[in-house]
Amino acid sequence: MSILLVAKKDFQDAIRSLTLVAVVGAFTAFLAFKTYFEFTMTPMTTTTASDLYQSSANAVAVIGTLLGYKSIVGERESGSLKFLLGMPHTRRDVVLGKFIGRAAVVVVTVIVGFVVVSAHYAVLADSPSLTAYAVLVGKLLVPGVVFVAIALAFSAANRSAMVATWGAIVLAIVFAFAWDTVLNMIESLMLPPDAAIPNWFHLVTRLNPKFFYIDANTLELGNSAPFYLEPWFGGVIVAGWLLIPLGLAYLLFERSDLA
Amino acid sequence: MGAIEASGLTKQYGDVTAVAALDLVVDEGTVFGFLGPNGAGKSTVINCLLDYIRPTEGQISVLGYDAQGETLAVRKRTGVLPQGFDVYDRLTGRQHLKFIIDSNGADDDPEAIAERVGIADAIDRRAGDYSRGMTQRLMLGTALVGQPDLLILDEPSTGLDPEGAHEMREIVREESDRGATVFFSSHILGQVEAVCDEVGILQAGTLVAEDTIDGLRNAIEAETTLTVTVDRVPNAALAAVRALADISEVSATDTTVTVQCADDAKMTVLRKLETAGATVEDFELAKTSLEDLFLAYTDDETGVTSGHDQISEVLTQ
Repeated sequence: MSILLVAKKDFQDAIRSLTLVAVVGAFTAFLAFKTYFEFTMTPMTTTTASDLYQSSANAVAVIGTLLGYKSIVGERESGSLKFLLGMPHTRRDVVLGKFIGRAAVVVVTVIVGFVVVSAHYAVLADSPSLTAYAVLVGKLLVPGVVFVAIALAFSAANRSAMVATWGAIVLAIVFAFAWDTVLNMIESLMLPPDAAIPNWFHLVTRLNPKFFYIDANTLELGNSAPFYLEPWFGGVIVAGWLLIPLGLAYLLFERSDLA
Repeated sequence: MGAIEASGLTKQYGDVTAVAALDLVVDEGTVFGFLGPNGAGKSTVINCLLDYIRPTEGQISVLGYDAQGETLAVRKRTGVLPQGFDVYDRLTGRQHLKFIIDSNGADDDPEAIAERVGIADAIDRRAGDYSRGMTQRLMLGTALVGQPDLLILDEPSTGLDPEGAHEMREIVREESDRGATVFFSSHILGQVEAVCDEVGILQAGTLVAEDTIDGLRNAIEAETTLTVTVDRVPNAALAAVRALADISEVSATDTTVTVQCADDAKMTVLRKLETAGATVEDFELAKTSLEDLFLAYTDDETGVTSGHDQISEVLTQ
């Protein structure tokens, strides 16, 4: 109950932020451009809704990070955390409530963006599919929520908003760009060009929460795939990315002096 | 059982000791004024009571609950007006009140509370547009939600004009009449004097006085500073005066003798000086007021040490 009250308050507060309105606007514009680009500029290949995933996932990762990185350290610095913890809420309620509140905001942001752009998609796509579009949006919500958790964990574990800000920038760069880039470099420079890509490489790719859904089926590996490339392991990866950062951050937050 | 009981409370930040082995008991139903200059450690103590920070050593019980182990039970029964707090700029006064009413599972009416703290006409405005005084009133309102058994108010008159500070004291009285214990910190004696049953004075992390206002006043006002101008100060005179009853301090220059003594000992002192061979040419009497005493603590420009000595002596008599 306490957790949901904190979540509701946080949602009410965050959803009124002008910065959020600007972020939703920018995201929608980006999505509109990307949809146009994917469906009209690449006539040689058949484009489907899922081709929008990779670039949207990067944008969603950045949005999740933006929503999370200041959520707790900001309240700690301003002093509103004293107001919050003057009430019968525990520090655990605050961490979880904030996470749920901000996760709800990222869900709303992504859905608003895609709903606005859906008309655009319906017109541009050769064979628009509502199911494919909905699957795309649903899949994107996962990294959205995971990046809220990671950034929020960073925010709970730090005393200074400056450190949290730099942390957020590093997180966004690592997950949205550096991880993919490094893997691409390994693939093209170090792996033998003719041989099949080794399973461990797929696992490392998949450990990035953006690519949690890559499994034996999407890779068309048949029945020979190890357990960590089975579909259910995606759930383990996502759960790990949610629980480990939030758990560690909670332990630090629980022990620290807030004033 | 005390509403607040701290024993051996110590808080260190590295080498800096903010609070040193503090023992404090606040009885249930009292209005306790927690006085001290800025930086004396008042907020540190309050932050420990509310588990915002963890003491380095010592035990605190609030309303019979362990302040660190049973935080939730403490928060359920305590209304808090912290120092250095902030509100949620984008939420209205009503949303703040509603949030805390829901959090406490209380059935208060947000409008009635807003009315009580004087922000009824601004209840639907965003708290970010409130003045400092209005924010303070809103926060006081949130502290009143759910009829708490204990109110902890850290410098509650911050940002309030004299009228607002007066209204705040009225609310403290009403809450006390209802049966609540009020723990009220301030660096201004006048804020506390009018409403508090008891005061504790904190200086550099140590409680240097704990008494009722009347008790402090009596202790201080019974003391007189007698300054005597004499023709000379014979060798035996000072020792003779020191030997008298009810004398706390004697000092002398070439032609003046300064004596701190009980009010009715002053004639005995003068006679003793004459007997010792000095001729009294003139004398002056000065009483120490509660305000003088407190200023000695709160005003950094006046000698804090002398104030410290003064009250230690006063209180050990």
